[in-house]
Amino acid sequence: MSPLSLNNLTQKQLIASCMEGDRYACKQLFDLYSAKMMAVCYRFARDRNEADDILQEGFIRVFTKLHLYSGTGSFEAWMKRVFINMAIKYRERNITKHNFSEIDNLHIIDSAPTVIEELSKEEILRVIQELPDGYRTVFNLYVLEGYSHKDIGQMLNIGESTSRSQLVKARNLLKQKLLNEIKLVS
Amino acid sequence: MNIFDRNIKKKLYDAEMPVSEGMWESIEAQIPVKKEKPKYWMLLLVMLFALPFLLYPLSKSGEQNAEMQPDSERIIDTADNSNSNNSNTNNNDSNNSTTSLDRSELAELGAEKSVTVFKTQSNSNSVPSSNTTIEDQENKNSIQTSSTKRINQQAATTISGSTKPVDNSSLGKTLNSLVSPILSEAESSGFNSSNSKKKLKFLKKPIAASTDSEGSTSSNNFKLIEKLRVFQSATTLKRATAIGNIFNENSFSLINYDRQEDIGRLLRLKKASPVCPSFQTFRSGIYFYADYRAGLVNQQLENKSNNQEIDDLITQRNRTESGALSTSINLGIGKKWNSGVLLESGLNFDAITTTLSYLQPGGTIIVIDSMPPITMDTISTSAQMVNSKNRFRQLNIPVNLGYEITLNERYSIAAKAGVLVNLSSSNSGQIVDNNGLLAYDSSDRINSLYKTNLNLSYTGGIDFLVEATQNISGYVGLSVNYYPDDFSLSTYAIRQSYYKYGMTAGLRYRL
Repeated sequence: MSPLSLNNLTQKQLIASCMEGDRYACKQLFDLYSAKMMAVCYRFARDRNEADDILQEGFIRVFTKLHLYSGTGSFEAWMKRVFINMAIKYRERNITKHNFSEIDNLHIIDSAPTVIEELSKEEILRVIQELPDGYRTVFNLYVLEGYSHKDIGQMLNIGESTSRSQLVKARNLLKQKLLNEIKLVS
Repeated sequence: MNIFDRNIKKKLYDAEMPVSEGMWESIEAQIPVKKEKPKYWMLLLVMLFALPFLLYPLSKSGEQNAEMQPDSERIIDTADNSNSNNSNTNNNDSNNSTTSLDRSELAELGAEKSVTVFKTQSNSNSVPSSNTTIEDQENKNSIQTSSTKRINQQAATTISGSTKPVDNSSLGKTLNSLVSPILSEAESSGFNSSNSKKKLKFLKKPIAASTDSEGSTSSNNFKLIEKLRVFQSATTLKRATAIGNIFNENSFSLINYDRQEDIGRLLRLKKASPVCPSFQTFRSGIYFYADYRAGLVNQQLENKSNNQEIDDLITQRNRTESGALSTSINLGIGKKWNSGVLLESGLNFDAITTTLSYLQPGGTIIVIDSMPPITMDTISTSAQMVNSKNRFRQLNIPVNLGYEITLNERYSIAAKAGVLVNLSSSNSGQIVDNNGLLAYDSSDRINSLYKTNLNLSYTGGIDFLVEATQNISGYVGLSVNYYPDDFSLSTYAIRQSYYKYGMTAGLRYRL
């Protein structure tokens, strides 16, 4: 369930008010979605500061591009797409190329599913953030956002096969890191 | 997507992260500033309010111009003593012929506005193109104008008709034939201003002389007279008067009030029910009115104390409350005087509506998720945007004073202003406190906050009237109401007052 449930009419009113430049409405929209969007930004960012920057730029973009929201689909999904695009652009702007580094000697770990239950959301998010840029981006887009490898390839300007291999490696590295995290916790 | 992926997705589906402090402030600073749209409607409102005050002096300017002429040119007389000023008039039977038409009789005829008779001094030298002589021999009025014999003859025919059995058909024909030469002469003698030309153009419109019946001819004559009256200017009058005293400055210039016989002519004119704006719109009378007003409300909140928290509360209330469409109904009776002054009173049912919109914090919702492979309960907090309406209803006695300007036979503009004497008021709705929690609910009678009597409020407006029938007029207009009284009790720290701007639509039935 959404942390803050709004009926469609109210949401439309809120969006309309934001489009008119109503600061109070903008603040309400920010309060409603900032925490959730922060989690999205955090997943894509390398650290907290970067996540803050993406969140800030993302919200400014949302407020200035609200008129592009058609009003038919989920507003939250539209907003999330804005933030993901912003995160990708941010990375492109600040790092000339995604670091699709190859990390070898990764062991295939099967016991990872149980690990997830033992860690909090924040801990998992932090572990995801520790992944190399390329791994993290592909993992986020494929696993958490549901994009296909084809879409990811187009978005990141890489081949589909690169996206696939990055995902496998990201998955294995993440499992390893989650197990390490468990060990540290215990 | 494998099990690991699914579990990760499930775990992070509604993940949230706290936002850094000051984030909103830095975002807010970069959001494009809302551009205030120019309030054209305010400008329009002001202009509409100013219009009657601009039109009033204009409507009076012709009269004022005439009055500003030197006394050597004319003598302004009332009907009572006008005869004494006709120094060059050969009046063999002056006592009989100067029987004045009593003012009350004129009023009865609907001609109050025309009681004052203006007469041209017959020996005036300041009227260059003519010397006017009014002859009244053996109860006959004949008017001699030296410079225009042809017109004189026609005029003499016309006027002499007043003492003989009245032949209105010939009178109508004569009037029509008189118009052209009068205007031609007026034009040729310096009648060149654009304003005058407009008036001439209007005057030149042919008036069909009907010989079908006395009534229709009278009506036509009356229309012509009306034209001259409505569009009179000092120059027009001077020229017309000089030509033969046929048309003097008075509405009923063809009718000599000094003579008893003319009463009959006036009565015939009245019987003919001429379509005359003066008779209809400036007739004194009583009318009933009913109108409906719809407008937007502007709520004014003021801190009664020096408490800073109250300022915060006002900010919170300004954020959560805004003016909404509000209506009112007026029923009453009014009186219109010939001068155009109106007085109205009756009953007014008025509503002030504002909307309340706030985020109502909800309870904690636990979602039990038993979907395999793991069981995971999620806990989330819900909040609901609440929209409701606050209403203040009042019953008032309005007392309005106004002024109505006739534009033409059908249309007029009325400006009104007055007070609403409050009989009672009630409220329904809710307001929130500093924390966005419900602070007042009108359904809770213990938590009483508002007054039940609001003393005086003020109302004003401008209406555009259209005469639909002889008795019924419809009107639309703009209205403003101001409610200066504090709606809340003295125990509540915020003073509440309201403005309401709106539109009016109504009907008026004249008795």
